Parts: sequence; structure tokens; C-alpha cells
Amino acid sequence: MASGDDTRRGEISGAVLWDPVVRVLHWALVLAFATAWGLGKFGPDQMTLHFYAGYTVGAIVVLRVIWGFVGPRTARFASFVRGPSAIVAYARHLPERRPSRTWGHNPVGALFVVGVLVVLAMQVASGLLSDPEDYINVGPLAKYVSHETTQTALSLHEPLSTLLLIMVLIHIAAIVFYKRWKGENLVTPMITGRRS
Amino acid sequence: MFVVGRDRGTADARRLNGPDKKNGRLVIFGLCYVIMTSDMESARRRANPSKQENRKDDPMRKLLLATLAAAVPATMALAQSAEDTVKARQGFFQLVGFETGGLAAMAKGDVDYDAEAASAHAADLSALISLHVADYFAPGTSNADLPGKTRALPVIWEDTDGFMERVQALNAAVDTMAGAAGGGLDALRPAMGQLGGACKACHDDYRAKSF
Repeated sequence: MASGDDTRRGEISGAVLWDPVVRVLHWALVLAFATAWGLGKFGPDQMTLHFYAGYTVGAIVVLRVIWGFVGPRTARFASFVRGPSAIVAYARHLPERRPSRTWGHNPVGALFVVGVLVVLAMQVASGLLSDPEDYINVGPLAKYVSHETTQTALSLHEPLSTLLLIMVLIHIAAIVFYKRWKGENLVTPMITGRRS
Repeated sequence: MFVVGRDRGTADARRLNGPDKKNGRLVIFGLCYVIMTSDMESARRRANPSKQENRKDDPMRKLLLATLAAAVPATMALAQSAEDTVKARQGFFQLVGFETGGLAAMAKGDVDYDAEAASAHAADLSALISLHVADYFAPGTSNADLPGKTRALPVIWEDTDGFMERVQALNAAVDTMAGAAGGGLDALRPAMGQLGGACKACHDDYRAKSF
């Protein structure tokens, strides 16, 4: 497990870049999100499976946030969330055709991680509070809030799903960009935990 | 529009509806209908107390109904604004939602299953969908025509075939429910899934998510 401030230390010692919890949560999120999104868009009118997929996404977000405070160094928010100057400084070097070799999330990627967790949380919350007035797909928390709130939640749920799809596409585009342009493989470490 | 019950005194009904000029013509038609049919019925009862099932074949009754049917829409077309139409439509769906909600509460186990209550909800749904709903969807009553007042999308009037398919799906689901509601919770649940699915399928494409 990498520790300390030297971002090269883990790499030199051949330590684990992404711990097993981060990796399992990442790929579980891929499956749960794809299932929830696909069922929401193309699934049956009785959305029980979409609900379960959504609960799973919610659980993954909660666990990831907890892990962001108690997990190992590369998983912790305190280690990768950076201020505007660090983000701008990293972004300025982004077009260079060489690997970034960041040990963990780079400052721009960190921005994305926080953003996607926030939007996922909003999406799960809006689903839990939605009342589509079809009497079979009512969010389990809709009965505890006002009718207006249930309708606001309903009107947010679909635009947020589109936003999340765009975020996924940006995420994949960034991976392709790092691989093709910068010659850096980001996928293998998320599977094995180690840099290839 | 007032519906005057047969058991209500005509003087009482006149007092109730008297000053309302807008509804005057309809009320007079209604009263004529009530008075004439009840007179006919009592006359028939006197003449032949055992044959009440012939009511539907009575030519006089048919004529009255035809006159009423022709008169009411003509009068309504003059009286109803787009706002009134939207209110009637929303009132209609309020009732559909109320009856469906009662069935859904049982299907989910929020209230105990009661065969009699479930059958009553299903019967009311059947009655509701037998209404002539076309005039609730008069042109010029979409959310583009009346922003903030309705969620009915203009696509209802642009894709009439698609919309009618959803209406047919609702009718089929209500028919299924009519046969299932009184037959126990295991019969109610899948019928509820079909009914809610019909609501959802139409809300997805023909109703805006917000006003």
C-alpha cells in the first residue's frame, strides 16, 4: 500500500495503485449503472429490476464515499481533491504526448470523480423520491415528501440520466486519449491494481 | 354540468341550477329527460309490472336518448373553453388515479385486501373508461397551447395512432382488472402490473414530466 507524499514511491516499490475495494466498487458500478440505465430506457413497464439496480448504485456511492475517508491513500478524497490552481496546472500539461505517471487520481480526474459521485447521488435521490403516477413504479421515499417534490424529482430523473451518459462517454474518451495520445494504460491498473 | 338524480325533487333541482344561465339549457334537457323517462317507467310499470327488461327497446326512450346525445355536445361546444376542457381531463384522470390508487394500495399490501372494495374500484374504472373521452382531448388543449396548466404533450394530437394504441392498452388493462380484482390478491397483483404499465407507457411519451 502506497503511503507518504512521494507519488513515485508506490510505483518504484511495485505496490498496489488501486486497492481491491476501489476496483470492486468501480466495476460493480459499471454493471449496476449500465443495468439501471438500460432498464430505465428500454426495460419493461414494471420497473422492479431498475429499482434494484438503482439501489445497488446508491449503495456503491455510499460505500465509495465512506472509503474516501477511511480507505488507503489513493482512495482518500483528502489525497486527490485539489484546488483550482493545481487543476489548471495539470490541465496545462494535459496536451503533452507523455504519460502523466500520477500515483492515483490526477487533479482533473479528481474533479470528475467528485462530480460523478455527486450526480450519481442526485440521480439515486431523484429516483427514490419520484412519483410517475403509474401506481407501480413509485419511488419508496415519495410518500414522505410533498407531491411537488415528487414531481420535481421526476422531472430531474431523465435529464440526470442523460448527463450521466455524457459523463460516462467523457470518462471513456479520456481513457482512449491517455492510451492513444499519452501512451498511458489506465484500464489495466483498475483491473489488476498494479501498473503494467 | 349537473346530473340530476331521479330521487331529487324537481323544485329542489331547479333551485340548485336556476340562476346558472350557462348550464340552463343542459339542465332543462336533463330535467325533461328525467321527468319523461320516469313517467314512462311508472306508466309501463302500471301496464305491465313483470316486464322491466324491455326498457332498452322502448322507441320513445331511444328517441329521447338520441335527442339528448345530439343536443349535449352541441351545447357543450359553445360553452367549453380550452381551460374547461383541461380541467375536465384532469378531473377524469383524478378519478382514474383515485380508483387505481385504491387497487395499488391493496396490491402493495399497504391496506388489507378486500374483494368487495377491489371489485368496486375495478367497476368504477370500467365505468370511467366507458365515458366518451374524445372531447376531453379537444384540439388546442396541449401544454404548448396552455403552458403551466397541463402536461398533455402536443404529440397526442400529432401521433393520434400511437396515442390511441396506449388508450387501447389502458382499456385492455381495465378489462383484465375487472375480471381479476375480486379474485384474490394473487389475481389482483399481475392485473395491477398491467394497469400501472399502461399508465406508465402513456406518461412516458405523451405527458410532460412537469407543468
